[in-house]
Amino acid sequence: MSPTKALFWKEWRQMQWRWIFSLAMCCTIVFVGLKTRVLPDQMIILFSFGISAFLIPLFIAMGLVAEEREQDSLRMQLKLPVAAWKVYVVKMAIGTLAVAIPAVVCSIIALLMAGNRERTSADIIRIYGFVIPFEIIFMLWTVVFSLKRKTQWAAALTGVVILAVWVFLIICDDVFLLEIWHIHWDLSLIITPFGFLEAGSDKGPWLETSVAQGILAAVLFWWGMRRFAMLTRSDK
Amino acid sequence: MNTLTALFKKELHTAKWFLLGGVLFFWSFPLLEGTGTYLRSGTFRTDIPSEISWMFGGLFAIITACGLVCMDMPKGLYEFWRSRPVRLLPYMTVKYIVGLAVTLFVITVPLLLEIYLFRNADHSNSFGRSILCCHTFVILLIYSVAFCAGHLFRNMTETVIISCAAMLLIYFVPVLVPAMEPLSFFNLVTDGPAPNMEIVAKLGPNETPKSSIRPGTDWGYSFWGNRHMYWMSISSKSLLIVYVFKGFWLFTGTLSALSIVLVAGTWVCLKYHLQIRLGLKSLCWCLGLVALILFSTAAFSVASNLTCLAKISLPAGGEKVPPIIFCFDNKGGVMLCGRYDKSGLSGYNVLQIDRITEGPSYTYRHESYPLDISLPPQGFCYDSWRIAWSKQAPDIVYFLGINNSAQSSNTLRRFSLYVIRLDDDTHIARVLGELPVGEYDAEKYKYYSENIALDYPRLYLWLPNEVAVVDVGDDKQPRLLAKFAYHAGFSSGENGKTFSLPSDKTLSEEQRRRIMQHFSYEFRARAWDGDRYGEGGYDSICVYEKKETGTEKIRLEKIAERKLPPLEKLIYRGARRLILHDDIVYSLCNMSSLMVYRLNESSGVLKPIGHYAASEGGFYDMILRDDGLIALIGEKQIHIVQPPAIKSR
Repeated sequence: MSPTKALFWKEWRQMQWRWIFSLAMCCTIVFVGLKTRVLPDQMIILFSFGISAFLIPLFIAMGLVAEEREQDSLRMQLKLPVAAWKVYVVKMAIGTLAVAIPAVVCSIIALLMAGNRERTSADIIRIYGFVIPFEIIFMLWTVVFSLKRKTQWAAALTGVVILAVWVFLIICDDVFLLEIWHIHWDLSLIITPFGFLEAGSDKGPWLETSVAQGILAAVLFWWGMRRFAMLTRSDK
Repeated sequence: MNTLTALFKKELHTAKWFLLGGVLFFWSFPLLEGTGTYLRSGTFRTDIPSEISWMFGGLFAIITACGLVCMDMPKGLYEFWRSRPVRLLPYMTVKYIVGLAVTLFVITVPLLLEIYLFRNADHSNSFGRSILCCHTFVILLIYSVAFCAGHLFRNMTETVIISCAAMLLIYFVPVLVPAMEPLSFFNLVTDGPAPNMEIVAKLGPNETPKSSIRPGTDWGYSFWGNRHMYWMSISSKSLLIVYVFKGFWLFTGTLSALSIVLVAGTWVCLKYHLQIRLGLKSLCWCLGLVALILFSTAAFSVASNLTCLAKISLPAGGEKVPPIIFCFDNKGGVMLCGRYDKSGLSGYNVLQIDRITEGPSYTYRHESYPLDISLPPQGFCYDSWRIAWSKQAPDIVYFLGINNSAQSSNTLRRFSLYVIRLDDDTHIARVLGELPVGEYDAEKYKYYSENIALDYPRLYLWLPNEVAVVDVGDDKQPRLLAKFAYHAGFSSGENGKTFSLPSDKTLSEEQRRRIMQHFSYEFRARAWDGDRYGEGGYDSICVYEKKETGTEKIRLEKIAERKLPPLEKLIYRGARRLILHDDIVYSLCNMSSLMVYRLNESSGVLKPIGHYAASEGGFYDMILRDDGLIALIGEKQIHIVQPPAIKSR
């Protein structure tokens, strides 16, 4: 097995319980909610959407780098004959897969149980479709900004702070730009990935958000790669 | 520097980051919103603190407690602190007090600011006061749990996860277990009937006896508070009375006692070096399992959502106040909508919803007819029905209004019954006939609300001090048949109710019964179905059946009752409208949902057999259509819902 393949295998095994846990949580909520019909289908879908969008990326991001630093296993990993950037890329790829799987499975369950019942199947696909880019970008931000955190707890806190800053920007946008100065720029929806969530409800500027977030994600990924390389030097 | 001061300084040094983070989070949003309202309207006001306090207050308490405890726990550090000449009790107590003080300071200061800013507002900010009075104790318990867990697990991540699981249990288990209802924070802060109250403080002249003032009766006085605590200030007597509901003591007492037990438990942990080691994986599964069990229990106990066959959008513009449909079936219905201009309510439109065609898309035709008859200045309230319509005469609307042209003085109101024809050609509501029904002093009958009921061709009018019976067989000339005083009311016993009948001898027994059924007022939602009577409130839904009919009274006996469990109370918040049909009770609840119960007479049980929760808007009224479907009428939409009884047939 090549070292890169071995890395993939190792990361996959390491993240396995996290994505299975996320999958179990989300799918049970969607299944029980849509089966019992305790709330309108839309509310159940939005509930699972909230868990998928905010909690799962945080949970996965905690395990990518911070867990290894906490257990002091990152150092050993970097002794492998593989470039640091490859380790980073593999981690991010597995992280992306781990956050996307629960959303995809949830959308399949929702489609099978409630497609064209109260909401059209296209609505359900759109909602879950836009949650995946949000999850990936939120995970990316959390991982990149928590690279220097030595505990999972601190990494999670970094993610919470990132979310709080985004919410703060949206409130500022609503209060000052929109309501007081009457400027309809939707700026916060473009510079934060919340535009994807808005697009899920068929309101947001999805194209502008996608372009802006794509560029931002690429820059962040590159910066994260550089930080990871520097970090690994010190960890070595 | 003595030991205690040193300990305080040390803990404050650790806690300063939590204080800073908490202040940034809990104070910045209110300040931001307040600045926004100030720039918009010139008034600095915010109601965010109460919202973020109950949503994130528990989480902040966990973070602070875990942070303070677990930051002292890394390898060797805890042993170092324990090796200092400091006794266990002061070490633990100072840590507990500093963390709690930081938590409460961060959370309560914006709340106090919110309450202060709303002190002179038109509407009182009772939710903020409820949160302050009740949620503070929930925070205390959550903080104590996290503090204890921190000493037991000695690891930040594990402590946070365990504390979050405990927080979910504290919030939601009392909602799911009826026996624990007094400890349910959510049930405590939702509106409901006032339980027993007791006076806890009275500041004012001693000569004012406590018994002379009762909450709920002295409405003329300044009266503010929440469900648990009322402050009543009576300016004429310079008196301030504080009432507290007895349930409040049980809630706060139990939560405080549990907190003390947890602090004692922490001391035991420290004293005997108790420690639990759990992996993150098992903890996550533990938290997940707790969350899923709570969610599934709640979901399965609420039962299935009924199918909405169609959502019919009502035309935009014109607020429906109140959305009155007297009859609504496949042939149509009538609704009254307010018409507004810049100065406010300028008149009404009679909206006829006509020819609803069943099919995949539910098409309908509606026409709006401007109606320029003046209405009482106080406008409508939900329970005042002043419009009547029947499918026997679908283009006619009967309307109880005030004849402004005949106004003889400022305080006198002259009520007239208008027979209005909805003209399809011109789309104008034309008055066909007018029948003056009385002149009343508006000041004297300030809190009276008119009512009107139609059993075609008999129309019954509930006027300020009497009932009028009108024959509307001839559209152009409605005829007053009788007018008599009627004190509609009832007396309640343990297992029954006795309603008084109108004493007018010119009416048939059936007519007297119909008048009693139409106009017997109850603050709770009520419904008649032949000899059966149902009523629904915040705590329970009861069904009664006629046992005895006299010339002046009808006696009913309770045949079934459902005492609502805490979850049902929380979700539905009491009944707004009730329909009783055969053995089925339909209850339109205050939170946009419909609950359907089946009556089992032999066991005296009302069993829930279905519910419907709409995702948007609230419903004002509901109609059981001729075809058995239920029409839920909201401000913007009508939802047609299939009842479970039809499904099972």
